[in-house]
Amino acid sequence: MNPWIALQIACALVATALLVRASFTAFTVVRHFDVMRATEGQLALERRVELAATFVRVGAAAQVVALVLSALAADKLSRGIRGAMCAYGTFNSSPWGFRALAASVVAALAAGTLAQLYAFDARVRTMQLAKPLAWLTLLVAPLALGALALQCIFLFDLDLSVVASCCSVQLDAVASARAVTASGPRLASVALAAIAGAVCVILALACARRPRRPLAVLTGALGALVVPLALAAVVLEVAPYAFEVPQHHCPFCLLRADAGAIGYPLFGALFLGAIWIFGAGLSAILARAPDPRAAWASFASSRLRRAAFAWVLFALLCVAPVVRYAIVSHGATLFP
Amino acid sequence: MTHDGTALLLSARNVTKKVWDGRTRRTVVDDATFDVAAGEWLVLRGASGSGKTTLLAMLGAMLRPTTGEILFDGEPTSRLRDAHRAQTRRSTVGFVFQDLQLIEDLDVLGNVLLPFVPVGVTREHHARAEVLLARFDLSALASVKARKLSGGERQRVALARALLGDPKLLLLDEPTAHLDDARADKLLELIATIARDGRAVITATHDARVTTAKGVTRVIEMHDGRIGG
Repeated sequence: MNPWIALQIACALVATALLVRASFTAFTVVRHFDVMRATEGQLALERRVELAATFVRVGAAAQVVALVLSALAADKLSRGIRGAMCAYGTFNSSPWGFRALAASVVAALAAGTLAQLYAFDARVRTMQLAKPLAWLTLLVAPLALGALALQCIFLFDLDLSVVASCCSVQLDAVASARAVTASGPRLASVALAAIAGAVCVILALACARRPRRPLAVLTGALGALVVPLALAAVVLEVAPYAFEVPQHHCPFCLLRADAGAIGYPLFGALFLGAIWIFGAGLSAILARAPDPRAAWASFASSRLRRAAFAWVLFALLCVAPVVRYAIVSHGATLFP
Repeated sequence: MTHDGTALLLSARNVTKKVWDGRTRRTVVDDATFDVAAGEWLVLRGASGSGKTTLLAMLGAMLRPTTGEILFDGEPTSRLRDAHRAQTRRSTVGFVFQDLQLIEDLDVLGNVLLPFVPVGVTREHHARAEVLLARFDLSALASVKARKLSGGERQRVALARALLGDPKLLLLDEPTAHLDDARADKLLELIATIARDGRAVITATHDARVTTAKGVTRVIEMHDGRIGG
C-alpha cells in the first residue's frame, strides 16, 4: 500500500474512532446529564465529559490532518496514474473520488468548528454547555464515519492502471466553453469574494475589539458565504495567474511543487479562518446562560482576531501570483 | 456583610454530601448552613466520622456537595467544573491536611512551593516562600529534606505551604493531632496570628486544646453529619 494512503487512512481512522467514542459519552450526556446534581453518577459523567472533550479536540485535529493527507496522497498518486497531472486526475479516476473529498472537507470543517466550541466550553466555569455540545457531537461523529467510509470506498475502487483525464482536459475545456474567463463571471465572482471577505474581516475585527453576540452571529453567517465565494475566486482568478494560463482553472494544481505548493497555505488559511469564525458565531448562539456569557467575550475576541488574520493571509496569498505575473510580464494582462 | 458588620467570606447553604458505599447511600454531611466572616477563626468540633473532614473538603472546593451551595466571596463554587474549581482553590484557599501530605524526599522550600508547580513557580512565589519560612522559623531548614523534620516543623512547613498563595481562607484538618502540648500551643498561637491578618480560618478537630485556644471566635459541633451547638 502507498505510504501516503496508509497514513491518510490511519489518520482518518484515529479521527473517526475518537469522535465516535466521544459520541458514546455524548449519548449518555443527552440522556442523564443534570448540571444541578452532584451524585456519584453525575460526577463520574462530568469526568467522562472532560475526557470526551479531549477526544473531540484531538479527533478534530486528526480529521483536519486526514483532509490534508487526502489531498497530498491524491497529488502523489497522480504521478502513478496515466493522464493525471495533479490530484484532480486521481479524484476523477473513480466516481467516488470527489464524493470522498467533499465528505472529508465537510467532516473536517464540522469537526474543527466543534473543537472550537469545546475550546469555548473549557473556558465556561460550569458545565452548562454539556448538553448542546453533546447534541452537536452526535451530529458530527456520523459525518466523520461517513467520510472514512467514502475514503475507503474510493481508495479500494482506485485503479492505478486506468487512464485518467487531466484537469486541463476537463476544467479548461469547460472554462473555455462557458467563457468564464471573460470579464463577466470571473470579475463578478472575484469582486464579490473580495467585498464579502473584506466586510467579514472588518466585522470580525470590530467584534474582536468590542464583542457583541449578534455581530458575531452575523460575522459567522457572512463567513459561511465568503468560503464558497473565495473558492470560486481561487478557481477563476488565482489558479490561472499561478500557471500563467488564462484557461487553467484547476485548484488542485496549486498543490503541486511547480506552483510552489501555494495551495496548502492558501486553502489552510481559508479553512482555519472559517473554523475560527464559525466557532465564534456558533459560540455566540450557545452563550445565553450567565456563565457561558461571561466566558464568551474573551473567547470570541481571540477567535475572531485569529480568523481575521487567517483571511488576510489568505487574501495576500491570493494576490501573490497576480502580483508576480504583473512583475514578470511588465504589466501585461493575463486575460484578453 | 455579617450581622456585626464584618465582611462575609464564605457561606454554606443547606450543604449535604451523600456517598454510595457499595450497598447503601450514606449521608456524611446533612444540611449544613452557616457563614464565615473574614478574620474569623471557626472550629468544627466532632468525633471521628462526624463528617467534619468532608465538610472541610467541600468548603475548600475539593469536594462537591450533593445538594446545597457554597458561596465564596458571593460566588457559587459548588457547580464549578474541575479545572475552574482548582483555579479558585489555588488562588483563594490554603489547606493543611491531617497527614500534612509533604513530599518526603523534597526539601522544605520545594514542599512550600509545591502548589504552584503546575502553573509555574515565579520569583514572587520564591520571595513569598522565603518570607513565610522566616516567619515560621524555618529559614535554616530550607534545604533540609521533609523526612528529616520533627512533627512541629512538619506542621509549620505545611502551614507555610498553605499560605504561599496568600489565601483568604485557611482550612486545617486536625492540626494538633500528633503534637505535644508545648508544640500544639505554639502552633495555635501561629494560627491565631494568621486569623488576625484578616483571613478566615476553619479548623476541624476533636482536640479540646483547639476549641479553647486564644483567638477562636466560634465553635460548631458536628454529630453524625449534622451541625448543632
